[in-house]
Amino acid sequence: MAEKRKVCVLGATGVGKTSLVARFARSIFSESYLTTIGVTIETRRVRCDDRELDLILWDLSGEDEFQDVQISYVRGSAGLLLVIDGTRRFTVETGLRLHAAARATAGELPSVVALNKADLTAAWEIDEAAEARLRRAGLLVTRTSAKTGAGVEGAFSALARAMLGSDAPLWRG
Amino acid sequence: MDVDTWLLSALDKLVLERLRDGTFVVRGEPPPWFLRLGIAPPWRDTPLRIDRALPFLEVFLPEAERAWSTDASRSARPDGCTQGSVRSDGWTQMTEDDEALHLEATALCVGSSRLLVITRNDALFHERRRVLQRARELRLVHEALSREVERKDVLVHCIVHDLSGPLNSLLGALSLLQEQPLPEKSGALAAVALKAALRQRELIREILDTFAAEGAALDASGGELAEVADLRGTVAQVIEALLPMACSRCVRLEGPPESGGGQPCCVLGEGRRLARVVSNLVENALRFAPARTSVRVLVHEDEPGWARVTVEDEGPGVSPAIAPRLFQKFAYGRDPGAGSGLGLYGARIAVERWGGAIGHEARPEGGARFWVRLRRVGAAGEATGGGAQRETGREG
Repeated sequence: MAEKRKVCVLGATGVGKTSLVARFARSIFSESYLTTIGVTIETRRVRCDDRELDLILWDLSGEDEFQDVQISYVRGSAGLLLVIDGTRRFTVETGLRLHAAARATAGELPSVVALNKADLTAAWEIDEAAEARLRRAGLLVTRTSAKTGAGVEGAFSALARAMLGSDAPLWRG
Repeated sequence: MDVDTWLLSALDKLVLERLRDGTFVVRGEPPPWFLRLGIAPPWRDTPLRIDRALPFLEVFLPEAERAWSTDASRSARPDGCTQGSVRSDGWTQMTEDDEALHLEATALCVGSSRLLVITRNDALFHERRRVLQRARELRLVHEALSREVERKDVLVHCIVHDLSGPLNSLLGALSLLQEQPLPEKSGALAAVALKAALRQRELIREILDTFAAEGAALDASGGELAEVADLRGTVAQVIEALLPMACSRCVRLEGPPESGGGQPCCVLGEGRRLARVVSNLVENALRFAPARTSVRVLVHEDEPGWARVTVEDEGPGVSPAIAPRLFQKFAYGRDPGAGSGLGLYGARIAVERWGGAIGHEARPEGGARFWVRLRRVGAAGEATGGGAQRETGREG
């Protein structure tokens, strides 16, 4: 039987969290933007180093002036995927703030940053300095495009591998 | 099956009972959406693995347990239901066939039974999402437009700045030309050209000042302002500089009488910008003052923590039609075409950035009175509040 791991997906609004999860869990992408309310939960089974994992993906609503992130939802998580919109630099700040809040709630967790929308190279706003800042925060940084699928499997695989290598909690029933 | 068994299913509700050992079992017939979660039966007698079936409940159960404990300690009502119930936030769960279920849970006691009622509520969810999404879309559009405006501002700033280069050459050439012996008509034409070029330089400075003030206003959000200016000294400099203009218009320009033993009146603000603000008000007054009348500039220090400069003229006053827009961008005030339409706007954002306020009023005896209210520095009872809020109704 596959082990379960809870993964919370965090980030500002409109960065592509739901699109990344949909691409990863269901191999689909839609250009239309549908805002998440509260949390959407999906499951995907992955194989990692000869072990089977059921990733329970908690896609949390983005943080903005209209809705707060329910950071208490990260309790019991085994890992975090922080999503940043590569075409909107300010979403780095939001991602880092949410990461700090998640750590304060759930402790140190394996965390991967997805610099999303990597297909929009002309509008890219994240420079080397910003990436270095994320790495200094102890985060593994990857580039993803939910639209093309580039880097998506890699981001989740990296997180799964990091979770297996850490003491993060198993899913509690 | 009887009605009781099917009722909750017909209402699209799933009822789970928490047993004493902490496990959950399904009560009644589960609704159709539950069957699509891929949970294998039987459910009624076998404990349900809610971590698999409904993972969200993990974060709700502590709250539900508290509600059940509270309810259990109360006496049950005659109908068997207890007083309180607690409802979870909504969540969305994807089924194996990619259907989105919009759910919420309610914890309550019925008799001695501790129940969780899971309700599918698509209509409410879609309405909430429609409203929230519209708000977010509008914000994204606003962000995109702001970026576009910013890009265009930079472009315009560059263009205006570049215009000043050749203009300076032109001014230099015209000044040299005026020093040459010229025929009378040519000398007059050179003087007209020099005057126009000087006016154009003033307009360019006004536009660049406004860009700078706008940028500073954005940068200074939450920051402390350290710059201090002497209001009396600034007013004296402005009057001295504008006396020739007043003379050429046959208007008497009166400055404030000496007071305070020559002590400076220190206010929060940048000296050069403050001079531009006062100069703008005095130039406007001189432009609209009829010949053989006066323009009076006064400095008031009678309010603790604040200083105020007023500029009074005996002109036609401000038309009520333009008064509400007078301090907005490109609001051409009393003389359309006289300037860039940015002078009073630039003055307002600069003064507001210093925590002060600017405004105008009609004088009962005729003419206009423009005022600027600024925080004093180093004075007893130094002000801390916003000038704009305190000004209301004071100048009436």
